[in-house]
Amino acid sequence: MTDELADRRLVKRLLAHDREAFNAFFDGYFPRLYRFARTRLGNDPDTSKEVVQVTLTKAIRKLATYRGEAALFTWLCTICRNEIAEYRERVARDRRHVVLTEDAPDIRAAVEAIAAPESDDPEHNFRRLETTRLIQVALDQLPTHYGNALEWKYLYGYSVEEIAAKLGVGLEAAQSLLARAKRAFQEVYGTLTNDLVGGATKGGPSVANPT
Amino acid sequence: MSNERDSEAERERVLRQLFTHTEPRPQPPPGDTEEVRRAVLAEWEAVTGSRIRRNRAGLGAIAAAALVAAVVYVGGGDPDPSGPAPLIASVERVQGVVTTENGVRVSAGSGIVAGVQLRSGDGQMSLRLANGGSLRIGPQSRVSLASGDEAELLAGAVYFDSEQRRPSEFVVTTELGRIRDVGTQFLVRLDDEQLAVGVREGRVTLTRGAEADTAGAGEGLVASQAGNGVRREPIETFGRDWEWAEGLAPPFDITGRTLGEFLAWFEAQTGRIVVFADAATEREFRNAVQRGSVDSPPFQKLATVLEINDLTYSLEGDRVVIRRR
Repeated sequence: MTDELADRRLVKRLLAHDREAFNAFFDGYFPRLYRFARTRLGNDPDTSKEVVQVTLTKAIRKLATYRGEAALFTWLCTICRNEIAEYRERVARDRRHVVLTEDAPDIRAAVEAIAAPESDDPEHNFRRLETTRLIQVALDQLPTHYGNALEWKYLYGYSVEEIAAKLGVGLEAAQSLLARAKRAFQEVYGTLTNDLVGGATKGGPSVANPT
Repeated sequence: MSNERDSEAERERVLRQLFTHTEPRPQPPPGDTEEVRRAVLAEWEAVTGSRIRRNRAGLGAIAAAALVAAVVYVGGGDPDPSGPAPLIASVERVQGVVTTENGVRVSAGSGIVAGVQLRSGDGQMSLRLANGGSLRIGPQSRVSLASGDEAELLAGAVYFDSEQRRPSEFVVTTELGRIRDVGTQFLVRLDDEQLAVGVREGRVTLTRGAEADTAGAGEGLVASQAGNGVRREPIETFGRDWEWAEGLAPPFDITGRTLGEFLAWFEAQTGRIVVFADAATEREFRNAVQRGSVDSPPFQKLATVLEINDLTYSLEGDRVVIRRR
């Protein structure tokens, strides 16, 4: 079953008022969308929560219009992007009336003194952070169970047996899923890193030639 | 075959190495997750519940049943072999701990079947009724839901808001009388000494045996355990007596709605009258389309919404006066 087909089936079940489908939808997409929003909202947890809540609420209202032409996560990200843009516009409007405390000259000097760089090599530091982020973005772009399975295997060190148990499938099915997940990850991560700088990797090591 | 194995082994090696550069994806705070889940679930219940009924029963029936959608049944006793009892309400909000008479904890999103008795203890809760309207249960209350149109108040307080959408009357029964709404908002409080009914909007009829008394907005009816008839008295339709019910106001998603629509909701939830300090401000802001989504009690929400619009308010008796900052 293709991912789009699985997404369409999930939406169909959601529209049929299937509570298990709601749980799968929320548990599968809320954390990914939250990370998507948070990265774009200066790591602000409260605003991210608010924006994602509005995004999901609007998505629920528009569910019947989802045709499966793009992955469900892509569709949700489009709605989320619009919400983020609206939020920024609103903040920009509000800022015209607000003088930020940290903009006062004496406070700004104090804040800047505290904000020392993490590393003496900013470029290295940036690459490291960007690699971390891009791997996480790639995991979020995969179907939920693919991303989870890879994280369980490579970051939490779960065995295939444990992953099978967590997914509620047999050993062979878990092995097969992991193989598909690895290929899908390789493709997405490769696309992300190559696309960013026209062929060269930006975030650090590539899948093809890790350093 | 061998090439394929080699390629798989290489992919495994590469991925292992690559993942040493990262860490598990950060998870949203659990409190935020639950808060958003409740909000999205409520929206899903409303949207898909109404859709199902529209498909099954046609547009005529949908208005009455649009908000019954919960799938988590809260009920007492053994399952009925003839099938699940119909849902008569869904839980919209719970503050503190509310249980059934069997000690089952009630949570937002739960469905309520007929015959369930709810006990609020120190908590309080609101229900969205299948036939329309909101029923809110105050602290230290025991309420038995006989059907979607009738609740028995055994102790404590309930607040009912027909939201002007019900096709049928709603009745609250107590040992001291039976209160019937006629498209209204009213509050019923029962304690060891008396039954007190306060009407915020519309009319209610209190029936005791063969006697019936009707009260309109701004009136209260008091019947004592001693049985000295029913006393009628003027009441305020806002303020302290109503505050607990305001804290259970249903969510209002302001995105895409005008300030005027929001203020109408605020008036309905608080019993206050909203006016603008001057016509120019009203002309400029009443139809202004709003954005954002803050789920908070009415007064808190009013302050937030007005601040975003560069407005402020003051209280003058039962009036909320809005002016520029």
